[in-house]
Amino acid sequence: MEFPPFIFPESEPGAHGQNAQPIVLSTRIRLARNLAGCPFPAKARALQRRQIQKRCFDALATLPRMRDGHFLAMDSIDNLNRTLLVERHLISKELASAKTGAVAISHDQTCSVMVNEEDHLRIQVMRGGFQLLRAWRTATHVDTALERTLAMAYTGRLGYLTACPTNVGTGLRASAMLHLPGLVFDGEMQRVIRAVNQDGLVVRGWHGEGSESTGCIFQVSNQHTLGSPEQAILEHLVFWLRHIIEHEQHARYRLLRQNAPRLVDRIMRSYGTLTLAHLLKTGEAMDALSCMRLACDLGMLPLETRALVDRLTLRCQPAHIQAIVKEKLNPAERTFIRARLFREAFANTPPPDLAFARKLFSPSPAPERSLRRRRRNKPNPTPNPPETDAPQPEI
Amino acid sequence: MSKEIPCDSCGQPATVHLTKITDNKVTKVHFCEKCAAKNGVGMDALLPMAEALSAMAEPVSESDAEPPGKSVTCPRCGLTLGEFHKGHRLGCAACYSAFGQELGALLRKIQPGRAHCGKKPSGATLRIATHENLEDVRKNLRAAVEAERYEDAARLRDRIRQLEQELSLITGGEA
Ligand SMILES: [Zn+2]
Ligand SMILES: [Zn+2]
Repeated sequence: MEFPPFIFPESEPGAHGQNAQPIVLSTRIRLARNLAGCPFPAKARALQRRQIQKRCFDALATLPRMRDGHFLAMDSIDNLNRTLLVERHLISKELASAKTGAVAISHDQTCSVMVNEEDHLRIQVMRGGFQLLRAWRTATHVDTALERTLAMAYTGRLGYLTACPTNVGTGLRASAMLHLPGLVFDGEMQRVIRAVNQDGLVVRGWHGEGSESTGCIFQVSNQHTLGSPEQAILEHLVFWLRHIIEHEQHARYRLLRQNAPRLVDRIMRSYGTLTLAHLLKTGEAMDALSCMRLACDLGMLPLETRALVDRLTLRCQPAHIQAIVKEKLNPAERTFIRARLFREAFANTPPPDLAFARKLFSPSPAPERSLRRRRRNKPNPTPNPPETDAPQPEI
Repeated sequence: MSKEIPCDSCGQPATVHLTKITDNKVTKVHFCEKCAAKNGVGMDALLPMAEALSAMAEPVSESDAEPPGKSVTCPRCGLTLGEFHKGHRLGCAACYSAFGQELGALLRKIQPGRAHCGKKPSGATLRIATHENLEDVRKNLRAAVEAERYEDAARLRDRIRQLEQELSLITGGEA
């Protein structure tokens, strides 16, 4: 079995060479664009699609960012490799299953441009941590560069025209991948989802529309694309992301103060699972990894474990497991191999250190009653969440 | 404090406010936490994108539906309005003007703004966009003159002058 070289360089979309941050795993910008004068991909004939692909690839090949990049037609790679790209969020499930269309991926895998998906061009830029505006600057730069030679479908009134009216206008979908175990354990997640829904944002699971969230990972993105400038759309999202981050910190603090045994038990069991289990399904692995990430954030594990967790979150997925051992595996074989890989990966990771957590909640345990009363008066009773390196968006 | 909205079901103060699109009508529903759970307002019901898309599946209204034999079709790509309602996807840029009326109604529901006010293209796109825009406005001017809407016509004439100027700036005077 052949694997293109882009899978193995340690360029997991989570980190991209930067230190992994708590709560915000990664941020992403997507711009939908169509070439002027050509029917959208679904209505284009095979020959037209090939011409469109050629024009787009030719324009992309001139960009410095795409130097040494990978230019792949979907019908030139096999099913497993397509799934691998989906698991890395470099292409969509739709592009992978349609088997027509193509993708250009920058060498460092921070930028991927899908060609002939739902729209002629889907420019995507991914960044580790809370770097929405930086990702936006890169994406708009790529867009402007392409526009120098490619005329896009655009009208003064409706902006950039897209195959689906939910993208018309800016064509912008900005999103952040958030790790929210505190809100999930606390049963607060539904409330948060409802609140952001009412203000024009959408919450999805790890793998996009309709997908279940695994490992307490959620994707939050803007819903509307017409009527606000990009800057306002981004600022609106950043406002809510900050709010959710704050809620998550409070939820974690509350759990530590009020339900430490339950929290510690989950973390220790997860450590046990990852270091001792001999059969591991994807979902179980994701949940255990989520607890390890939380343990890093709480200072119970060395900080470098966070980057390890992020890499394994990516690599515990079915196609990645098969790419790593370089053979096709059925689901039962995968659970076995997955468990082995995790035991090896965590062999040098010490058990979560409870001293830190103990210090946090033992000195003067406030009596239950007074704590509850305070909580009723103020919805957020925690002025100092335990986070030391909380994510700071660069604005 | 502003007045509280009561729960649609039990009258307690509502905390869950949803915008639903059913039968192509936008309705607001308000529930208290308990009734929301009882009515199955869970994750699924809260995917606004899915709602917006299902709203597209329905024609704008019965009376607006085209009489048989004269269905709306995009002259450029051949997509019919029926196909759009089924697949929720447009076939080409010209579909936006071919289905202008239906799309306008839809966009008002799924998008908060009527008009784009974000990034403006430069380079190749701008040249073409301005040119196409100019054609559109010229067509509207002819229609306005024929219908003797002279105020509109005057406004459109000014707009054409402005666009012609823009175009000559972009193309270097060969408009
Ligand atoms: Zn009620
Ligand atoms: Zn069309």
